[in-house]
Amino acid sequence: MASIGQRVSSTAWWPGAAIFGIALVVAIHVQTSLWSGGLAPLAVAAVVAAFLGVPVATNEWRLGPETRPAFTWPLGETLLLAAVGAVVGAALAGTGLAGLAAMLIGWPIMAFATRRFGFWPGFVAVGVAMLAMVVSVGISLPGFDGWTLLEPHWETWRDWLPWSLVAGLLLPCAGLGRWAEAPPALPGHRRVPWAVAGLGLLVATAISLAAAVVAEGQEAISYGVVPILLLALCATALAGPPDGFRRRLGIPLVASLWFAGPGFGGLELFWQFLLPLGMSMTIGALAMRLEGQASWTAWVAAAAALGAALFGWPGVPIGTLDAAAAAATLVGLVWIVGTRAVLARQTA
Amino acid sequence: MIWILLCGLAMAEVTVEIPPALGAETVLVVLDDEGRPRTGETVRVVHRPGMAGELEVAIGITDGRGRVRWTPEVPGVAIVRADEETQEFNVERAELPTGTLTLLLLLLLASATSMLYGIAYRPRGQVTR
Repeated sequence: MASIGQRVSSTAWWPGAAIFGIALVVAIHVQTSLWSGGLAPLAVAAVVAAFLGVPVATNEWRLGPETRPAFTWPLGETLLLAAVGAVVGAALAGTGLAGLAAMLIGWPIMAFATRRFGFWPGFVAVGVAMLAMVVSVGISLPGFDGWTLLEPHWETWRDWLPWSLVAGLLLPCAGLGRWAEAPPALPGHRRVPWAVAGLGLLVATAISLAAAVVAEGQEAISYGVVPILLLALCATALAGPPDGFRRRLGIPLVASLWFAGPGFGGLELFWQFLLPLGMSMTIGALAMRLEGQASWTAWVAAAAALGAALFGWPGVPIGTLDAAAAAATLVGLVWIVGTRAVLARQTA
Repeated sequence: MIWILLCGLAMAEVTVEIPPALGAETVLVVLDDEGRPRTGETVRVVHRPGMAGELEVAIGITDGRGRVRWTPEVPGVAIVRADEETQEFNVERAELPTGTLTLLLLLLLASATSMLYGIAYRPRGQVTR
């Protein structure tokens, strides 16, 4: 699994968690926060990621879970999870069939290249795609006309601040360790959270450009394909070399499909309350294991996640179907977390 | 009959004589299903519809030729409403929004720097496979 240049004993990280975090950040940003504050929520999320998310994620991934994972997943399943998660993220981001087609074409090509040439070339390919995107935006800037949606609105901070706090922790995947420990932990290094956060921020920014052009009533093919290809690339690059597919599907994959389909009504409750609440508990437990400045940073991050949960409480859904979806989501989460906790203690 | 009715509905429209631009006066013309000017219609404009900072402003009432003068004060996407008729316009900006552009470039720079900083590190020492 480990490639040349990586230490087995160095920082471990969970690629499935990275994809989950990036897909969720992008989806919610394009659907909600971009419309309520323009680029302001993303800017605040970037600051939170730099000063809280990355330090917490670094310590979380360095220490690893307190107990051994109850389940172990083959890498092929992680790849499948990452790909489907990214597809669901792209679909939720509203990039349309063209984006999905680009994703479905780009992902197998990238998967083959990753399998043939290894992990790091894939990550470098993401960097090349990033440069191409930046150059294309720079060239077309005089004719770009998507400023209405991108215009930052700081005065509406009450609407988007909870999202910014959660997104800032999700970008480097802080607070997801215990919840997403099922995918295998790959040997990484201590700067991996920076790379993952940068990639997530880039994808969110690029898709914001695409959404802004669409909001102006213009074609967005040139802007829409690039971020989708980026998603395809990061889906495979972060998942690492494939090791064959299995039929057994993972909980995060089922969760992604659930929220994209019948459980869509429960997404708001999950995103605005249950997820930040769980993240605050995870980061709080991490803070108790740390000392000094690292502990204080983790406590502040836990308080931020708790504040986001309390401040972002969406209320009980009004519609019958939405309420049923929210209730099913809550029951499913309690069952999954409870079962996993019991199994983890038995195998510890 | 239904086809004729649908064609008639499709013909009702709000048009402008000059594409709207920030601070520049233009004239809106409201026509009915048969292409005749609609008089006495209150015309309103919604700037940034559905987005933060949404602003609805009354432009005025159409005259005998279905016309009303409009000087846009907010750039970007806007929807003009006259009774049940709506038409989306894009109010042209006088110059690039420097604040938004700066924030966008900062986000791109931060993401690129963060990615490159994370990728550049390669540990030395024990090498395993």
